[in-house]
Amino acid sequence: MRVSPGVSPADMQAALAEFQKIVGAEWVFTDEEDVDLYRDSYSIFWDQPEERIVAAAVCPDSVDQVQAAVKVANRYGIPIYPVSTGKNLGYGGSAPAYAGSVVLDLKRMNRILRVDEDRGFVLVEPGVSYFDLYQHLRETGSRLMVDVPDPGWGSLVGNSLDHGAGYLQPTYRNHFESHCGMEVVLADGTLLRTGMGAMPGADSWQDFKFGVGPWIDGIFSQSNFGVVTKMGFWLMPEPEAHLEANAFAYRFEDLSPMVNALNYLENTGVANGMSFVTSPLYGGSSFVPRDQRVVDHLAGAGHDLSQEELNAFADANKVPYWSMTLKFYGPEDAVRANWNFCKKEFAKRVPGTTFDEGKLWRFPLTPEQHDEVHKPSFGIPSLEMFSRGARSPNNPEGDWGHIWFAPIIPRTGEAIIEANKVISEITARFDRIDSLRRVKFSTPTTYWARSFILLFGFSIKRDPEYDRKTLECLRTLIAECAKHGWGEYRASPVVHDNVAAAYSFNNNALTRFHERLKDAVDPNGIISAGRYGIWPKHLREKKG
Amino acid sequence: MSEVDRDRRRLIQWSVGALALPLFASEGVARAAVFGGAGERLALSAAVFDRRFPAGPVFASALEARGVQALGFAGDITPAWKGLIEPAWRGGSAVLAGLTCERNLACLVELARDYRMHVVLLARHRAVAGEGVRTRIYGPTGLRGEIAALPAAPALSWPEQAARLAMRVPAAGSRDRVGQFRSRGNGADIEAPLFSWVIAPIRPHSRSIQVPEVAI
Repeated sequence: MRVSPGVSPADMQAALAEFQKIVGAEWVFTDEEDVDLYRDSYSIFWDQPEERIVAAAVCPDSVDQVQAAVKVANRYGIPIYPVSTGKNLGYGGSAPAYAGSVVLDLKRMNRILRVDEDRGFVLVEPGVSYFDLYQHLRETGSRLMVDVPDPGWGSLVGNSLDHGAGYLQPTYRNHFESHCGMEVVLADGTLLRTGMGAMPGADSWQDFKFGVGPWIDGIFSQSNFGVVTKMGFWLMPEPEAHLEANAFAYRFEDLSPMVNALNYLENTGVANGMSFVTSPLYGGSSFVPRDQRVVDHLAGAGHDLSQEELNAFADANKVPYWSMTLKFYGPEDAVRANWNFCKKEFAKRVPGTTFDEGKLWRFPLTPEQHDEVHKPSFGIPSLEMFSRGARSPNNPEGDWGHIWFAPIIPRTGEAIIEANKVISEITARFDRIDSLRRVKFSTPTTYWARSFILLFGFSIKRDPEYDRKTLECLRTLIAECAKHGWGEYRASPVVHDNVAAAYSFNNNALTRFHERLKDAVDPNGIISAGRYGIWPKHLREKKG
Repeated sequence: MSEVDRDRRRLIQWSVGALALPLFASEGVARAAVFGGAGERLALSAAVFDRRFPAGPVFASALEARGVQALGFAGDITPAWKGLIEPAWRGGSAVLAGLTCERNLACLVELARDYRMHVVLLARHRAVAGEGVRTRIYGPTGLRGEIAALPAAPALSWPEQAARLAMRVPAAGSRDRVGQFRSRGNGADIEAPLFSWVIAPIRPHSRSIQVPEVAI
């Protein structure tokens, strides 16, 4: 039996016995071989003293059991770490922020409680995966789509609470924004419902988010103020058609007007899917691959070229510097008309832009079409991303995983260029590169409607010296980017303190507010200690 | 880190529980991650293979000839996951064999955790210039005798040898590097290493997460 920090062996044993009474002895795990299933496969500290190891796992099957288990944890001061499916690899998996926590594994709570086809919502428990919901909707003949991340094995609740994202329209692909109403077990076992769920008998829990008064749902995301046991989600009804098309620009300085055009087209709702800003010259996107002439030129050179050399090649060979992939969902006539409007807007703002008319798909897709498309863009969960090789000529040893660096930057072309300059200088200093895309220039993703995220995945090598240098690089990136106002939207627990510390306005007023909330709603500090830099009082004091 | 060390560490990671972690107060030592009596072998319930690699169908045929159902997929493991593996694992303790690329195996290892399953046999197949295919095997030490008794190539191709080993994994025993073999002449189709493997419950009648009836 492992013992949680700050807990006596006798109390640990007594608490585990009570957990067994609540969930059944077979659903409390203390043997090392069971408990180690909760280790983070991508941990940068694997087998190192700093690895965040779990003490035990408890698997409740109902809200009543969660309430009872939380009360027991509170009584004995057992730190608990709720996970839904624990699959957010690269962001910590199911390993806790505070080593020695007891995982509250909610996978058994996997009931789809309600589907409303006409109002377009579902109400689910934390253990429901994207696969589960998709299968249920297809088996019942629903025409609702599920907005799925890449890959589709995660939990709707967990992904939403960790600010995950998908690929459909902005309202849906922002998974926290797409939720409507939640049920939460607080640290003292109190059961709380938010929004219209607070009104007994209201049938609009999944229709209207806010109810009345302060909207508190946000404090239960990326946090440790309660255990979320139900969430409602809005689902997108299947449209008539989906169109994907591309615009290409041929000068480095075209980036800013291209981005401004994109902003206008998205903010007016003309382009209503997830756009991709990519570079056929610099590469790095699986959606618009690097121009073959550039690939051949690099192969011929036998070594990397500097940005200036690549620019000269592009100018001489008419290779596009930038491409914008626009996506549209709606009636066929409407999406074609919207794309035509987009072409006019790009041509007006960026002379010389060329266009690829792309492809239009009609719903429902045929089984053959399922194999042709980027599945998440059609709401189809899959594990397809794992079909690609882990090793390559550039990476012959393969990786053990990766850790993300994901800063939010303003939605401007200037920010993309400036952030790449700063980040590439730091990564060069540490001899690190985005191991997933293996490019020096990163183009942004548009998961959120009004901002850009630059995503960098750094390899985990299971070489302590290499990995420590990677972590040092990551922490330097977090601190240096913060000086420019670029903060991470999501992070691995190993850098939660660093990420939270970067949001330091007015002597860390936000963190101090989080701590006051924590002390008020979880005075014994039992839930997810340290998550996103929010530590309970007794551990803050210990940390000094 | 040498290739051997890397693969050994992969097996250790993918068969978690074999490590003693001195991070907590502990009332005992780590139990061996084994079950079953001496001499017993794991009974395969099914197998999956990646049709992109010519070795996949050969591996599958060898298992099917011994009565093990095998399902192929082409890169994307989702159909195999939804069509065979997940239903089998939800139903209880189902021992699964496979021949896949490394990332698809890593994906299955993550999914297997939910069903309290882990890797008990890991064979790494790599083309070596001038040698054909070199296979290194990590698993129960009881496999050493089985490896020594394998008919040499060309009597069996390497995928057939891998299938034969997958059928003969001891149900008990500590795990480590247990041997290697080489097969000449048919490694041109392996660009990156392939893995054959067996995933089994941590213990008999392992408790998997059961799906309740959907409540609407």
